[in-house]
Amino acid sequence: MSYSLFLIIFVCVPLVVLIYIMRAHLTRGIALALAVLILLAVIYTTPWDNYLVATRVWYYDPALVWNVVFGYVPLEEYLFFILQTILAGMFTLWLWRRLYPRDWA
Amino acid sequence: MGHTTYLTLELIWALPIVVIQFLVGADQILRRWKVWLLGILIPSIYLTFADSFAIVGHTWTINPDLSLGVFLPFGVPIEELIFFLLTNAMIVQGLILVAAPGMRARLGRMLGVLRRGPDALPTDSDLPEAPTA
Repeated sequence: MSYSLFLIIFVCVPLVVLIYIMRAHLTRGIALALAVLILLAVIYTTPWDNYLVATRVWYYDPALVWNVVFGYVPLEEYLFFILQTILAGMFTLWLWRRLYPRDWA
Repeated sequence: MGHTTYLTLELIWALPIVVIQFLVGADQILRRWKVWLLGILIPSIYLTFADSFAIVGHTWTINPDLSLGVFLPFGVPIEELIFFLLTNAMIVQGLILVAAPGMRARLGRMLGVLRRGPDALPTDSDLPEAPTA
Protein backbone atom coordinates (compact mmCIF):
# COMPACT_ATOMS: atom_id res chain seq x y z
CA MET A 1 0.00 0.00 0.00
CA SER A 2 1.42 3.42 -0.92
CA TYR A 3 2.01 5.80 1.95
CA SER A 4 -0.33 8.37 0.36
CA LEU A 5 -3.16 5.81 0.13
CA PHE A 6 -2.62 5.02 3.82
CA LEU A 7 -2.97 8.73 4.64
CA ILE A 8 -6.15 9.09 2.58
CA ILE A 9 -7.95 6.00 3.92
CA PHE A 10 -6.90 5.99 7.55
CA VAL A 11 -6.29 9.64 8.31
CA CYS A 12 -8.03 11.95 5.83
CA VAL A 13 -11.37 10.10 5.77
CA PRO A 14 -11.94 10.16 9.56
CA LEU A 15 -10.57 13.71 9.66
CA VAL A 16 -13.13 14.93 7.11
CA VAL A 17 -15.92 13.27 9.14
CA LEU A 18 -14.69 14.94 12.36
CA ILE A 19 -14.37 18.34 10.71
CA TYR A 20 -17.92 17.99 9.36
CA ILE A 21 -19.29 17.05 12.80
CA MET A 22 -17.39 19.93 14.44
CA ARG A 23 -18.04 22.49 11.67
CA ALA A 24 -20.19 24.75 13.85
CA HIS A 25 -17.54 24.95 16.57
CA LEU A 26 -14.37 25.61 14.58
CA THR A 27 -13.49 29.06 15.86
CA ARG A 28 -10.38 31.14 15.18
CA GLY A 29 -9.16 30.23 18.67
CA ILE A 30 -9.40 26.51 17.90
CA ALA A 31 -7.62 26.96 14.57
CA LEU A 32 -4.86 28.97 16.26
CA ALA A 33 -4.42 26.38 19.04
CA LEU A 34 -4.13 23.56 16.49
CA ALA A 35 -1.71 25.61 14.36
CA VAL A 36 0.57 26.13 17.38
CA LEU A 37 0.47 22.39 18.20
CA ILE A 38 1.24 21.47 14.58
CA LEU A 39 4.20 23.85 14.49
CA LEU A 40 5.61 22.42 17.73
CA ALA A 41 4.95 18.83 16.58
CA VAL A 42 6.80 19.32 13.28
CA ILE A 43 9.75 21.14 14.92
CA TYR A 44 10.11 18.56 17.68
CA THR A 45 9.49 15.40 15.63
CA THR A 46 11.55 16.19 12.50
CA PRO A 47 15.08 15.73 13.94
CA TRP A 48 14.05 12.67 15.96
CA ASP A 49 12.32 10.94 13.06
CA ASN A 50 15.20 11.73 10.69
CA TYR A 51 17.56 10.13 13.22
CA LEU A 52 15.33 7.02 13.35
CA VAL A 53 15.38 6.59 9.58
CA ALA A 54 19.10 7.42 9.34
CA THR A 55 19.88 4.66 11.88
CA ARG A 56 17.31 2.32 10.27
CA VAL A 57 15.16 1.95 13.38
CA TRP A 58 12.39 1.99 10.80
CA TYR A 59 12.53 2.14 7.03
CA TYR A 60 10.09 2.74 4.19
CA ASP A 61 9.75 1.17 0.76
CA PRO A 62 10.97 3.88 -1.67
CA ALA A 63 8.61 2.45 -4.31
CA LEU A 64 5.58 3.30 -2.12
CA VAL A 65 6.25 7.04 -1.57
CA TRP A 66 6.19 10.10 -3.86
CA ASN A 67 9.99 10.28 -3.71
CA VAL A 68 9.94 13.78 -2.26
CA VAL A 69 12.38 13.33 0.62
CA PHE A 70 13.52 15.98 3.12
CA GLY A 71 16.61 14.75 4.95
CA TYR A 72 15.96 11.04 5.36
CA VAL A 73 12.18 11.20 5.65
CA PRO A 74 9.59 11.21 2.83
CA LEU A 75 7.07 14.05 2.55
CA GLU A 76 4.16 11.75 3.46
CA GLU A 77 5.66 11.21 6.92
CA TYR A 78 5.76 14.96 7.58
CA LEU A 79 2.13 15.14 6.45
CA PHE A 80 1.38 12.37 8.92
CA PHE A 81 2.71 14.43 11.88
CA ILE A 82 0.48 17.30 10.79
CA LEU A 83 -2.63 15.23 10.11
CA GLN A 84 -2.27 13.13 13.28
CA THR A 85 -2.12 16.33 15.33
CA ILE A 86 -5.33 17.60 13.72
CA LEU A 87 -7.06 14.20 13.97
CA ALA A 88 -6.28 13.58 17.65
CA GLY A 89 -6.83 17.28 18.42
CA MET A 90 -10.26 17.43 16.76
CA PHE A 91 -11.34 14.17 18.38
CA THR A 92 -10.25 15.54 21.76
CA LEU A 93 -12.20 18.74 21.19
CA TRP A 94 -15.28 16.72 20.22
CA LEU A 95 -14.99 14.71 23.46
CA TRP A 96 -14.24 17.81 25.51
CA ARG A 97 -17.39 19.64 24.39
CA ARG A 98 -19.48 16.59 25.28
CA LEU A 99 -17.89 15.71 28.62
CA TYR A 100 -17.23 19.21 30.01
CA PRO A 101 -19.70 21.56 28.30
CA ARG A 102 -19.12 24.23 30.99
CA ASP A 103 -15.63 24.86 29.55
CA TRP A 104 -17.33 25.88 26.28
CA ALA A 105 -20.30 27.81 27.60
CA MET B 1 22.07 -0.50 19.50
CA GLY B 2 19.90 -3.49 20.31
CA HIS B 3 16.37 -4.68 20.87
CA THR B 4 15.58 -1.79 23.23
CA THR B 5 16.80 0.93 20.82
CA TYR B 6 13.42 2.02 19.41
CA LEU B 7 11.68 1.93 22.81
CA THR B 8 14.51 3.87 24.48
CA LEU B 9 14.51 6.54 21.77
CA GLU B 10 10.74 6.96 22.11
CA LEU B 11 10.87 7.39 25.88
CA ILE B 12 13.88 9.76 25.89
CA TRP B 13 12.20 11.87 23.22
CA ALA B 14 8.64 12.09 24.53
CA LEU B 15 8.70 11.76 28.33
CA PRO B 16 10.40 15.12 29.03
CA ILE B 17 7.58 16.90 27.18
CA VAL B 18 4.88 14.87 28.94
CA VAL B 19 6.48 15.78 32.31
CA ILE B 20 6.83 19.48 31.42
CA GLN B 21 3.17 19.59 30.40
CA PHE B 22 2.19 18.14 33.79
CA LEU B 23 4.39 20.69 35.59
CA VAL B 24 2.67 23.50 33.71
CA GLY B 25 -0.90 22.36 34.32
CA ALA B 26 -1.46 18.96 35.94
CA ASP B 27 -4.49 20.42 37.73
CA GLN B 28 -6.09 21.51 34.45
CA ILE B 29 -5.37 18.15 32.81
CA LEU B 30 -6.59 16.00 35.71
CA ARG B 31 -9.71 18.11 36.17
CA ARG B 32 -10.62 16.91 32.67
CA TRP B 33 -9.33 13.36 33.12
CA LYS B 34 -12.04 11.77 30.95
CA VAL B 35 -10.94 13.89 27.98
CA TRP B 36 -7.30 13.14 28.78
CA LEU B 37 -7.84 9.36 29.02
CA LEU B 38 -10.20 8.83 26.07
CA GLY B 39 -8.51 11.48 23.90
CA ILE B 40 -5.25 9.54 24.19
CA LEU B 41 -6.57 5.95 24.22
CA ILE B 42 -9.09 5.94 21.38
CA PRO B 43 -6.91 7.63 18.71
CA SER B 44 -3.92 5.50 19.81
CA ILE B 45 -5.81 2.22 19.47
CA TYR B 46 -7.28 3.34 16.16
CA LEU B 47 -3.89 4.43 14.73
CA THR B 48 -2.24 1.20 15.92
CA PHE B 49 -4.94 -0.75 14.07
CA ALA B 50 -4.39 1.42 10.96
CA ASP B 51 -0.62 0.89 11.35
CA SER B 52 -1.11 -2.86 10.90
CA PHE B 53 -2.24 -2.26 7.30
CA ALA B 54 0.88 -0.20 6.54
CA ILE B 55 3.12 -2.86 8.09
CA VAL B 56 1.44 -5.78 6.29
CA GLY B 57 1.53 -3.71 3.07
CA HIS B 58 5.28 -3.00 3.55
CA THR B 59 4.70 0.75 3.46
CA TRP B 60 7.04 0.92 6.44
CA THR B 61 8.94 -1.64 8.47
CA ILE B 62 10.12 -1.60 12.08
CA ASN B 63 13.67 -2.96 12.23
CA PRO B 64 13.43 -6.34 14.04
CA ASP B 65 17.04 -5.96 15.28
CA LEU B 66 16.24 -2.65 17.03
CA SER B 67 12.84 -3.49 18.55
CA LEU B 68 11.68 -5.80 21.32
CA GLY B 69 10.02 -8.42 19.13
CA VAL B 70 6.79 -8.16 21.15
CA PHE B 71 3.82 -8.02 18.81
CA LEU B 72 0.21 -6.94 19.25
CA PRO B 73 -2.65 -8.57 17.29
CA PHE B 74 -2.26 -7.98 13.52
CA GLY B 75 1.55 -8.11 13.86
CA VAL B 76 2.16 -4.56 15.10
CA PRO B 77 5.31 -4.13 17.24
CA ILE B 78 4.36 -2.92 20.73
CA GLU B 79 6.61 0.14 20.22
CA GLU B 80 4.09 1.42 17.67
CA LEU B 81 1.29 1.49 20.26
CA ILE B 82 3.70 3.21 22.68
CA PHE B 83 4.58 5.75 19.97
CA PHE B 84 0.92 6.63 19.44
CA LEU B 85 0.21 6.77 23.18
CA LEU B 86 3.14 9.16 23.72
CA THR B 87 2.46 11.39 20.71
CA ASN B 88 -1.28 11.57 21.39
CA ALA B 89 -0.53 12.36 25.06
CA MET B 90 1.61 15.32 23.94
CA ILE B 91 -1.16 16.48 21.58
CA VAL B 92 -4.07 16.08 24.03
CA GLN B 93 -2.21 17.60 26.99
CA GLY B 94 -0.92 20.42 24.82
CA LEU B 95 -4.43 21.15 23.63
CA ILE B 96 -5.85 21.16 27.16
CA LEU B 97 -3.06 23.50 28.26
CA VAL B 98 -3.67 26.03 25.49
CA ALA B 99 -7.48 25.82 25.36
CA ALA B 100 -8.61 25.45 29.00
CA PRO B 101 -10.21 28.60 30.45
CA GLY B 102 -7.71 30.45 32.63
CA MET B 103 -4.63 28.92 31.01
CA ARG B 104 -3.88 32.03 28.94
CA ALA B 105 -3.17 34.05 32.08
CA ARG B 106 -1.05 31.25 33.59
CA LEU B 107 1.01 30.77 30.41
CA GLY B 108 1.51 34.54 30.24
CA ARG B 109 2.83 34.64 33.83
CA MET B 110 5.12 31.63 33.16
CA LEU B 111 6.56 33.21 30.00
CA GLY B 112 7.08 36.43 31.95
CA VAL B 113 9.09 34.58 34.60
CA LEU B 114 11.13 32.78 31.93
CA ARG B 115 11.97 36.10 30.26
CA ARG B 116 12.43 38.43 33.21
CA GLY B 117 12.84 36.18 36.24
CA PRO B 118 10.67 36.11 39.38
CA ASP B 119 10.32 39.93 39.25
CA ALA B 120 7.59 39.30 36.68
CA LEU B 121 5.41 37.71 39.36
CA PRO B 122 2.98 39.91 41.30
CA THR B 123 4.49 41.01 44.60
CA ASP B 124 2.77 41.32 47.97
CA SER B 125 2.19 45.02 47.36
CA ASP B 126 0.27 44.16 44.17
CA LEU B 127 -2.12 41.94 46.13
CA PRO B 128 -5.18 43.28 47.92
CA GLU B 129 -4.69 44.17 51.57
CA ALA B 130 -5.24 41.20 53.89
CA PRO B 131 -8.24 41.76 56.12
CA THR B 132 -7.21 42.62 59.68
CA ALA B 133 -8.61 40.50 62.45
